[in-house]
Amino acid sequence: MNFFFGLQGAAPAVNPQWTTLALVIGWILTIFVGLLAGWILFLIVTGKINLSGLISEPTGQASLSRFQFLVFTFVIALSLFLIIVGGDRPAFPEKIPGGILALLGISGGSYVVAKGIAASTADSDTPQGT
Amino acid sequence: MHRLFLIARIEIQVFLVALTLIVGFQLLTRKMNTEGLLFEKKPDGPAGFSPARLQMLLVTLAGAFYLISGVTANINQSRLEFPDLDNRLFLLLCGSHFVYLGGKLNSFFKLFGKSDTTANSPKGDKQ
Repeated sequence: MNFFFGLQGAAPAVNPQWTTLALVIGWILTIFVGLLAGWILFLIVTGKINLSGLISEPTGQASLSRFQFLVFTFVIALSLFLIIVGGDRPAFPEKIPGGILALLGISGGSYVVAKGIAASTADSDTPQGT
Repeated sequence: MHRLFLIARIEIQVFLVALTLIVGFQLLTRKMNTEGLLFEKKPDGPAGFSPARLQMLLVTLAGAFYLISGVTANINQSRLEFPDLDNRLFLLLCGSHFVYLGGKLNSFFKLFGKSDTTANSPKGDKQ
């Protein structure tokens, strides 16, 4: 343990080799994530990743419940990211207020109920004996 | 290490901003299907314009903007935390969703209007 933490009672001394390793892995991951993000954006722009049906129902009509779920999910995820990277060092927020969870719950619950209504009407439209 | 955090932060920020712009652009240019977004939907297809859907769209956008502006204000004040949301926002959202879902139920099941006798006819004829 002294190899990692130095003498007892003194501040822990980090082996420089581990720091270098962490730095190298960090750079590799950062470059990989950057390339991946760029590749995803390229595929979206060129149409290989098709977003035209992102808020559409199987019937082909756009769904407002999907749209509002998309908006709130994206906004809350974006807000969480901004808070995490807002400081000098990335850190998860100390607490996530219940209001944010309630917001997600209202949005998601509304989406589920809307889907349930649409599904129940589809079932009731099924002809008898089929 | 600080430079690494900075580059990683910039990367993700650029990705999220670009993604937001692309989705917004596709919505506005109708490359993303928005057909029937504000129209009532009935079992036999879309019907007329729905004020209930319009109000939910507006309340959703207002709520999202309120949240983002609260987070941005906190970050500008170096408070890295979610804002405390006003309870009135939840009342507004609940009311808005209630109206939307009520309208959806009514358009499908005719809870508050005349029943569709043709759908209940012995032969099950549809208009």
